[in-house]
Amino acid sequence: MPVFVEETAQLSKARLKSDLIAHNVALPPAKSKKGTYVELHKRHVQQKTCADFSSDEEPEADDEEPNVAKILDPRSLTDDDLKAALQQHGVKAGPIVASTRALYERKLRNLLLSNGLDKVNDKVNGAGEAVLYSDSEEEEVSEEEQEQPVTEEVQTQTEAAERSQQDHKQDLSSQSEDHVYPQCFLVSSRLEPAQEPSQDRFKDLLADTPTGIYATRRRPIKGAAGRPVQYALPDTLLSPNTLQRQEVERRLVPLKIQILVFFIVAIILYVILVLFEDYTFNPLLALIDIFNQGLNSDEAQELEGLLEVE
Amino acid sequence: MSSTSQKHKNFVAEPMADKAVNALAGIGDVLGQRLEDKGFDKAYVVLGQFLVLKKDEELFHDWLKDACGANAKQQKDCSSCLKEWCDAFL
Repeated sequence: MPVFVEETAQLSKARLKSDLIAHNVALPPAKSKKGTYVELHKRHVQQKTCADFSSDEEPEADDEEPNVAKILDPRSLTDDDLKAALQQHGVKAGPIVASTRALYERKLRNLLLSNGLDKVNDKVNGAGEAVLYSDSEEEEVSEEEQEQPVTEEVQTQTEAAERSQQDHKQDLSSQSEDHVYPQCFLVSSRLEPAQEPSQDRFKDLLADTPTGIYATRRRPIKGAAGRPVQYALPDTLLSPNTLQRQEVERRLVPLKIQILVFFIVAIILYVILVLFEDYTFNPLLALIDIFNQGLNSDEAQELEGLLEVE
Repeated sequence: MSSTSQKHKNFVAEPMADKAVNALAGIGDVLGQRLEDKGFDKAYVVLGQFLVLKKDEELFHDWLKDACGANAKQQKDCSSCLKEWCDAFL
């Protein structure tokens, strides 16, 4: 593969060194030229058919496909193999026909992505390894830290996962500042809070059960096929404010009627007063006079006295 | 009060026979044209695709998006329409 030959030479010496260590290849003497490292690297590392080393300085998006499926590329599988692979992941796939193939391939790819992450989580415990990287500049450092304590087998998977994870991270465009911590792998592999919502959604789709992966997780359809529709919201669709206002208004309406009635009664009383004035009913008249003249208690008493006299 | 559209109700009310793809809920003129260009010229062909995907709504959503560029609401409308039709008639 000519691509890798070129890019190996572009890697730094330190990088090549760490790669060789990771692959348990004996290092050349300390002051060897870079060429020696490149040779060894090409010979040993690339023989392992892991196509992950060349992509350091390249945009990650290109390498997602070959990296994700190191052994099985969904595209190269036959229909039956694809179906079997999906079954392994716990997905009950339907017939793989021309129209459905692309969808199932995509699904398998996503499953491999998340599987790669899970495998790495399981195998490496506190090995000072981190899967997540943000910037390409940090890669050298993180690569070194990552590769040293890890075995070969895990390392390839890690790289694949890391690459795909990296790609995914970049897709999510959240460049975190977190560098590789040479501490509990699980801590760093658990995604940063900033990313968690989107990653969790992604993971939720794929990794639900502890044993396998049940891929589909959809909301049940309300109101279809005899399922009762249960609304979270009340039927009226009115805000509480509106409801309160309506209640208050309900009280106000009879209040208006009450005011009306009051005025009507007042008018009737006035009419009666007028009538009684005509009949010159004395005590009533006096009382009315008192009433009309005011509510002053002294005056009222005087007037009452007058009344008695009269 | 139901949250399904009139189109949905019309579609689910009777066997789809030879209805055009426009008759599906969520599929209007533009999307219908795109589907027809791809060969899905009748509603039953889309039903066929839905069934081949084992009535999996998520996969159907993905497929619909690829096939005609439906947005999430349209995908959901279409898949729920088909699902209800299947529950009633299949």
